[in-house]
Amino acid sequence: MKVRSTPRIHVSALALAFASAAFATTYVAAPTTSHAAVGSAQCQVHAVLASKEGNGEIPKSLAFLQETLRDDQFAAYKGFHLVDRKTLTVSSGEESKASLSPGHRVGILLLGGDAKRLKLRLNLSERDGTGQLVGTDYSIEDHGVLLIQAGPFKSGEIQGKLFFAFQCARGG
Amino acid sequence: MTHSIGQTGVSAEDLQRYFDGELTGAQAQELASLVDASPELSAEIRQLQRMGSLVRDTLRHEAQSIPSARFEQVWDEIEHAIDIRADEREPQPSLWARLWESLRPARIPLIATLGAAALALILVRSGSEDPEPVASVEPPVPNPVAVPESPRAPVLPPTTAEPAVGAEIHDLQFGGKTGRIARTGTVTVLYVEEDLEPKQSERSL
Repeated sequence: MKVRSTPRIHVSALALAFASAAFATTYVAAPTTSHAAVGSAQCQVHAVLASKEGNGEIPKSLAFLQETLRDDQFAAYKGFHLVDRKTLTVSSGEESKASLSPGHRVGILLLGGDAKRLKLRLNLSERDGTGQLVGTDYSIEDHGVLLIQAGPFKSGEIQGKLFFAFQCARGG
Repeated sequence: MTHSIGQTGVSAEDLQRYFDGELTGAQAQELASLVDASPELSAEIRQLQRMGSLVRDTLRHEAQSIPSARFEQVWDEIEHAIDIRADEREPQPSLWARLWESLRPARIPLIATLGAAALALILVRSGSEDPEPVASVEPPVPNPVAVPESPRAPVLPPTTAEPAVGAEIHDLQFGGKTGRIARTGTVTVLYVEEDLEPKQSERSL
């Protein structure tokens, strides 16, 4: 009995301290981080030709996609070739646009973001640059990659599927 | 004082050492040849062999007469002695173990409080996910800049970093065609139907 009475006081004090810290985190820190403003972002758009012929090596220009392209979804492809690359400075208010050599046009608009993630609107046109192929609102962490697989594509003697990789990071 | 066995010149002590395998190589070889040549020494060796086997048989017989239960009893006593010594050397519980033990009366309310706080944190954070009107965050950029590809084009900060979580799709239109979203791990891919003939790229690979 003598042993248990003293720790009980300490336990109560400790529990109170924990609870205070937890609620302070909830009601004070959370609103601060969630309202972190994102003014602009830099986005890189890579057009990649993935073919079933090749030795499986990923060129240095696509090294940032290495882990992604090793995913099971791309197991059928053994060759990856950079077709085009564009860098866009995107901001809120008006869409930033660029044309890619396969003929597609891309537009990206910054919708906002928080401490970790960017929210973006992406529009990708059809190959003739007119109609919309795909449009999406998405959120992603800085440097996160969203891939879009378009249709078949041929460049020189290499045939395969055309992929677009969108990678954005705040700032710029 | 050593006495020789017969006329061989070999002492009983040396023969015993030979029999026990205690002599070195040269000595052992020399004595082996003497034993082979001398009937007296050979007889002594045989006598030693008989005595050895007699002793072993006697000990084995005595061991068999002791019940196996007695051996188990002896082993139990040894184990018990080992346990007692191990208990004497058992370390005190660590600081964390003692702290956790001292928290025993308050564990449930403490866990409940932390759980409630974590839930509130998640709710508050998810409620603030909706982006604020972007125009109010930053003045709009009048002219969107499309940066042409060039070797000196601005490069994003470390592009080798893979995202911890894949893209979260909030809205998706496929422009009249079909498509699907695939996600494995950190990879999010939008697959779009694009029914066009392959088009020759103007760029070399």
